[in-house]
Amino acid sequence: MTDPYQVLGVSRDATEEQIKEAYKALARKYHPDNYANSPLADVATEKMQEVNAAYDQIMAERRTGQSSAGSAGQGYTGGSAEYADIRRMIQQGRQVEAEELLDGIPADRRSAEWHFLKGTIYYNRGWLDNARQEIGLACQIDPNNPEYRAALSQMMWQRGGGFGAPGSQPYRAAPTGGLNACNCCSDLICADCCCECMGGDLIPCC
Amino acid sequence: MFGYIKPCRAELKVKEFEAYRGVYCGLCRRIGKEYGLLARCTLSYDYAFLALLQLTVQKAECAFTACRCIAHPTRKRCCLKDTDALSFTAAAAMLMLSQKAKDRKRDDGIRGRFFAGVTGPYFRRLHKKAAARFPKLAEHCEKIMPMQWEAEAKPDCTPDEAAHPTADTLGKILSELSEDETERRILYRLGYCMGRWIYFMDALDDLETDKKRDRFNPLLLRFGTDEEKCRDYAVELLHQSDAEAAAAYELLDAGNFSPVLENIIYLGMKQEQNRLLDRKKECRA
Repeated sequence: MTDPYQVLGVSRDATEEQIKEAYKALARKYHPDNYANSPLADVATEKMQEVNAAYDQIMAERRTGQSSAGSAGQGYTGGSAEYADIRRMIQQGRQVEAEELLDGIPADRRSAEWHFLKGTIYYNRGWLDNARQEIGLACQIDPNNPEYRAALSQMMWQRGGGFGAPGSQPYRAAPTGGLNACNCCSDLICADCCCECMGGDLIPCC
Repeated sequence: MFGYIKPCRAELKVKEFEAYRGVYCGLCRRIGKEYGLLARCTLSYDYAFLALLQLTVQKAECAFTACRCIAHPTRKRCCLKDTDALSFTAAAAMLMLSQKAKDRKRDDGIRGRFFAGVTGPYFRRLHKKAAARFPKLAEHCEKIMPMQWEAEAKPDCTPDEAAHPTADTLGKILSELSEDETERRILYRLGYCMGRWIYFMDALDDLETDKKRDRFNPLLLRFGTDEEKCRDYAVELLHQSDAEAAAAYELLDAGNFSPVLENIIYLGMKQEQNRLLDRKKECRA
């Protein structure tokens, strides 16, 4: 087995704090939400399991008997029996067969799920725009389905310039906030105002 | 490819920037060595990314030296020591170059065709040389233009269909970097999404000229002549492709050049996108 420290990217003499930090960063990176419906979801799950195992092993080595597990990915399940076979095919990566079966269903019998599955196939192929349209249609027909809504909201999040799952802190984003020469005075003044509201005073002269 | 894939320099550490430039330099020299001085002048930033990715995926040993070159004769620069690993990227650059020349021959007017006629034999020679070294790579690249023409001939060609040839070719090129099946899948997806991004950047960049000359453009086909709508939609497509490329990238093992690659995917591509939009705005104003 590979070195668990290497998996987490920390040195052997890292503190527990650093290990947790590294683990959290990796868990965020490989989080199943980031790869929902993705053709690479299995790879992400594998990586996540590797990271979990490494973290558990280190923690067990350091504190005998104690271990904590991260959340492993769980795919969405559900959908009707009619499309169960097609769903399975998509999950197994048999996109071409799945699409043939889907296309064989006459236009007047195409439900929300049909559009969702069609969208998933487009997505796996990398045709992200067609995928968005099909999944948007699925949501229009069945607006209360959480599976369709989740897929659409991730796409809309990404199209708005986000990375990963909707609302997630970008794993690596351009530093925008933080203390720097430009904003430190204004931050201090803000802090002072807050203190004054509460009756205290941070900067006595203003 | 078109030189859109660049790092955001302001966010690079000095050592990372030196490494990036060093790899670019090393690649340029390699092309000079294998394909001659003239071919060196055609190198674009995209291939520096490909070289960095290759060195990372193949976990190649890298050493840097200080050297001088014709483009910068006054000062010695940091340069990647010549390694055979760069041969692949050099070949990919040459193969894509000759494909692009093929496209220009069809697209442009008399002047373009004249230019293509003059340079054609030269590009064909480059292509032959590269294809002899990497026949599989050449096979992937040769399909791109016929696929593109076929897609463009369809009257109801969607943006996805139009982007597919470029995206698919880049995906196949990237997947050649690894022998491991899982890694190949990741690389294909990364290449596919980056190829899409490049294609839509180019489509957005050429929007006005394509409209004026009545050339094929997937955005114009979808939205008619409403440029504002075309631009907004292109931005959405670009964002989505970039986000999917990033998701695929994160599944690759990290290496020494990871900070630079991350910079390119998370910041550089967004920056390039914004620059293009700003440039368009200035043109209109």
